[in-house]
Amino acid sequence: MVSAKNLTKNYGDFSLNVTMDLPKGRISGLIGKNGAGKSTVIKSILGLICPDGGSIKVFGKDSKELTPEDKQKIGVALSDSGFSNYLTLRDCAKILDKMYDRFDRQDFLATCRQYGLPENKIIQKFSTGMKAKLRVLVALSHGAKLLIMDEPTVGMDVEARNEILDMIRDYLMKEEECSVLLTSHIATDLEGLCDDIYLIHQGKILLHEDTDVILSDYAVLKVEESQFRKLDQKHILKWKKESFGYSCLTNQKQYYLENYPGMVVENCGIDELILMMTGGK
Amino acid sequence: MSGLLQKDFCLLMQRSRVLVILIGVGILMGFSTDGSFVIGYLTMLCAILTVSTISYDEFDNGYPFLFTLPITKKTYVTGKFLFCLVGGMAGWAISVLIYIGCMTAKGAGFAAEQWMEALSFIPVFGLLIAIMLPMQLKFGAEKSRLVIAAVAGGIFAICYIGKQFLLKHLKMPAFLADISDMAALAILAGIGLAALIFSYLSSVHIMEKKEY
Repeated sequence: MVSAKNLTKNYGDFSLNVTMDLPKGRISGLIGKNGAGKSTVIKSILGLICPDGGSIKVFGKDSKELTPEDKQKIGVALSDSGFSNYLTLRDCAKILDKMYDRFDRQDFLATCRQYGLPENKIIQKFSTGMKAKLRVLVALSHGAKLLIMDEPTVGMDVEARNEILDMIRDYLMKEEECSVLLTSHIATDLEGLCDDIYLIHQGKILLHEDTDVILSDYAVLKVEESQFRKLDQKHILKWKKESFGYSCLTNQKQYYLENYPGMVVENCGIDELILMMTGGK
Repeated sequence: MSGLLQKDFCLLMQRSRVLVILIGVGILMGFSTDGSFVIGYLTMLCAILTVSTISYDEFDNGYPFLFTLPITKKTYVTGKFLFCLVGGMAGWAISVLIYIGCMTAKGAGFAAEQWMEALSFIPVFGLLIAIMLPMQLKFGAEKSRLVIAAVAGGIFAICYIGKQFLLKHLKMPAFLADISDMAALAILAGIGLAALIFSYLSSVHIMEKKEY
């Protein structure tokens, strides 16, 4: 569905260089700190910016050559951009009806009502959560085969976040072949939804791994200085100096559990992964 | 394209009160003034209102989402020109109706030369759109106000100085002095059309180059 090969884009000091693949039916998460390059990747996929080098293919085509027919198959929710705040939900439905062949206006309005979105209020008067729900509902409204979602749950409370994630899950149950690229700062959102994770830092992909593998095989070893010196470091990906000694990230949790009984081995979530991969040596 | 026109129409309808006030002021002007000022006034304001839908598209970083919809940048520009031209023409038609209504109510007719005068506003609003649209697309709503003011000032200065120079140093060429109203209108329409075509091509080029 999406394939980026040595995709490069330069903005002053920042340089992006990314290779990644999003196959059919896959849900991939793109994680990284602020300014890591997540939005640049997404904008490149959507053809909103021109890469300086490399290639980015969507449905086998260069992203700049996507036709309106191709775009009918893409559902997009951007964190900082959406329909004009001066439109109402009813206006949005009329516009989408004329834009997308597979858009069902009555169904869309009924779903919006179900999620408590008022039809005749201008979007400007919506709460942050309501705006985010609308962005996601718009992306899911026209039978897209590829979903690109940039921080769909940003700035929301737990309940609203879960509602949005459920919306995405329900959609994926119906459209099994749909591929999704999702960025989020909230690790639990990605852990519960994504098949694999790309970790981006300073414009480079530092790690690409299946989510299950991260949650089952990755761990953070908490060791004192003396233990650290004796530690077999062939499976240590990154280490970081701490007040008690060292934190070490490994992708072979079982190896250390079996060979170093008594060592503190903590399961690694996506948050720890980001901290260790971007802050460790 | 129809989706974009729908969007612009919905945005314009958010200012329906302004439109009603403008028409009301237009009717008052039609009764209180003798000239065809009302036609120029309403036509230009309608053209400006339609062009201002660009500000709504741009506001709150709206462009990135807009260009993820199944449209191209060329379609966006085409839709915008079409909407502005149709909006301007609607303004012109309403203003002409108001003018005719006022003239009839005053007991005066609407002669052929008045039709010529009314028609002359069409290429003028075409020129206005031809200048404003690419400026708004290139510089955005805020900066374009300054640029348009500078361009308008420049055009006025050139025309004024040119006229003074021609009146002092040159005689009006015979073919210009003898030109009929119809021919003058045709020339004005040709200039308006050429400006619109050039403006459209420039606008497409501006949008194709832009990144979001």
